[in-house]
Amino acid sequence: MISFDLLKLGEAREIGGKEDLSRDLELEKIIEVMAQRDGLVAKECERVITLSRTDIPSIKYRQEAVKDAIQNRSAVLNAYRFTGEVVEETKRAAFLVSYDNAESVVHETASGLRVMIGAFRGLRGILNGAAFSSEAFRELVKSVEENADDAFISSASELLSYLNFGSSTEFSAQLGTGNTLRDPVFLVPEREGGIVKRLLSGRSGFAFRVDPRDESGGRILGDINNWVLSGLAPTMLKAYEHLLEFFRTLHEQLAFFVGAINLRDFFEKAGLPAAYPDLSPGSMRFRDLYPLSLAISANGKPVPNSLDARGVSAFVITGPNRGGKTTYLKAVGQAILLARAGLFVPAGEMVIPSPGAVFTHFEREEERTMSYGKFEEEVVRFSKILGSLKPGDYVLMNESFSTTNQVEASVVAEQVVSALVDGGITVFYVTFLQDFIYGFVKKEGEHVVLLTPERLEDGTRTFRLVRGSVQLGYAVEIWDKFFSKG
Amino acid sequence: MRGIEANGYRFSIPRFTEDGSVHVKGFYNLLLAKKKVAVANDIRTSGDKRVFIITGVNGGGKTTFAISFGQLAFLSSIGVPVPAEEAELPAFSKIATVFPTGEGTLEGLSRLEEDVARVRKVLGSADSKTLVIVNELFSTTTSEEGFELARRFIGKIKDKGSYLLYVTFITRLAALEGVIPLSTVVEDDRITYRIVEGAPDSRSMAVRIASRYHLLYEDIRGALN
Repeated sequence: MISFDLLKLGEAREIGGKEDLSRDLELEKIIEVMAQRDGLVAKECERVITLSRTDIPSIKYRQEAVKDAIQNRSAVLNAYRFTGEVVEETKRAAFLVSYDNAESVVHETASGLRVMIGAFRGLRGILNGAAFSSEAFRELVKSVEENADDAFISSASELLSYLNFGSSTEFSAQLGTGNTLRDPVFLVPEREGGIVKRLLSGRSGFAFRVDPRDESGGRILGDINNWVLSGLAPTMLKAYEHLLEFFRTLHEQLAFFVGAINLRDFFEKAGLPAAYPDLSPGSMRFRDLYPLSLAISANGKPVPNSLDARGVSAFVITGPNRGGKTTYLKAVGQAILLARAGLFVPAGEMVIPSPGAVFTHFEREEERTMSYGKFEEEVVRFSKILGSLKPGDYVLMNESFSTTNQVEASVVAEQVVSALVDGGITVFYVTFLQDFIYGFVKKEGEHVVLLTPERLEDGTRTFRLVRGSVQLGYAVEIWDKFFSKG
Repeated sequence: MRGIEANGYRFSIPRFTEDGSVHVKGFYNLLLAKKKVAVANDIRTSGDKRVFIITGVNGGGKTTFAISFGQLAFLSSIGVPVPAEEAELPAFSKIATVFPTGEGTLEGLSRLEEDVARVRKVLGSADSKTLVIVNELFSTTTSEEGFELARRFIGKIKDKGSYLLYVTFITRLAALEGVIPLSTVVEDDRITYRIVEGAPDSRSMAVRIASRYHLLYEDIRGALN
């Protein structure tokens, strides 16, 4: 049995609310770069990136595998292409239209198996040409080596050669009541001097001839042939499907690494740094993190951001529009997803606190008006997230609860964000809700980081976010300025 | 006027008061009356209190109430019948409004500065025959700071003896000394567009909605366990 698992995805399924996540974080842009128009690569990359649950060992395992794949890119690309071809060729060779006719099942699966058995030599050649170092790829190589060695390939090929269409069927059977045949056993025709031949040669078997014009006699023989093969068909089908599954799964898993290689190529081209993130509880750190989707659409290097926070699980982002707040939120979300996938992130360095899932609650264009109907829609969307949320997850909010006035919206925001943070969730929240911001920062103190767009002395915007602080008293100052003059 | 009367709304000849009292019954919005959807409201004061703080739910008719009264005051000042069942009010010599400019591009502090500048201008020429209508002033800062500025503004208005209709989300303003609190009426979660004297519901509509979908602190903590 060949066993391998290049991805260690476990039982995890796709994350709940995947559509919102993809849309809010512009994941399709990243997937597009990874896929380079290959549908399977797109599908597999999306699957790994939007994984619902994963853990640190699996992430580390994938990271090593990704590094390995990039080191051995030609072997990985070749293996991906090759396994794809094997699957296609096998499907062409085995024309399985119906499972009713045992003879056709046996012969068709045999020709499919011949393609796949033969392909093991090619696969081994590709894999042996690389110097894999990761557990994932080494396990694969080892398993293929052990289970599909030369002896296996030649004996399997030989067995299959007896199952050509039109060749004779040899079998033994018992005689049952009324001279019926029972318990047929398919016999492999032995080579001259083989043990079966020698055993049988001493016996003069009974022989009979069917007249060529005897149609019903011929049909009976055909039926007997089918009857014998029907015992063989399920085994053949199982072997066929098993091997095909091997090549197909390997092809699918390799697709993710092809995506990783393509993404790496884009990083090189765009001049982005690449770091494999670390996971450390309580730490949220990154140095020069680039917003990937923006780098893709701008095809260059946007402004990077840095953050160093320990023991903080609430990041409140506020400040003037077009200062880079939403871009920041997307950059963080994208990087966390890449990190969970085991991929590298566009940063000099990154540490995230947990392998938790990412959820987004972004203001919808159509919700930009104030009404309780819209507010209710927002609340409904949020409560859906709650259904799949677990401690250690991340929630990225972009102007949530802005469909009602800031006073009452702040009350709701304060309850929601406090509960999330107290429940072990890391929250990034872009908001203008002044009451919330001031109240929450006052209450949480060291446990919240306030980020605001940087503005240089001369008023230039840098599109970088820096730590801000709550500055009260300006309003009264303004008042005094106007009223002391008059 | 005839079209509106055909819709079942009445006009009346206003009577001017000398003691500063306001007694307007069943006044309504002309545009809405044309569409047959106007809701009539009352407003009254003996004249010692002249600041009305209007709070309540979004879309509850607060701004419409303030605008409609402004229109009525204007129509009465030019000597024509007004859209109300009965109207007794001072003869206002000036009606000033401070509404949001709708310029979202101005950032927090400069918006606030602009609000203060406009208020100062209004105060500069306000007297006891002035009606001032404001809508969501000082809303680009926290409600705490907004409250402080509003309190100062209301104090100055009182000093001038002017009339003020102040539409706001800062419910604490309704509890200020010497003001008349008005608030929207919600019946079974349905907005009635009626505005009556009294403090607003302590639990806001938004909090009630969030509670309905289990989005308050305790619910979320429970869900995360």
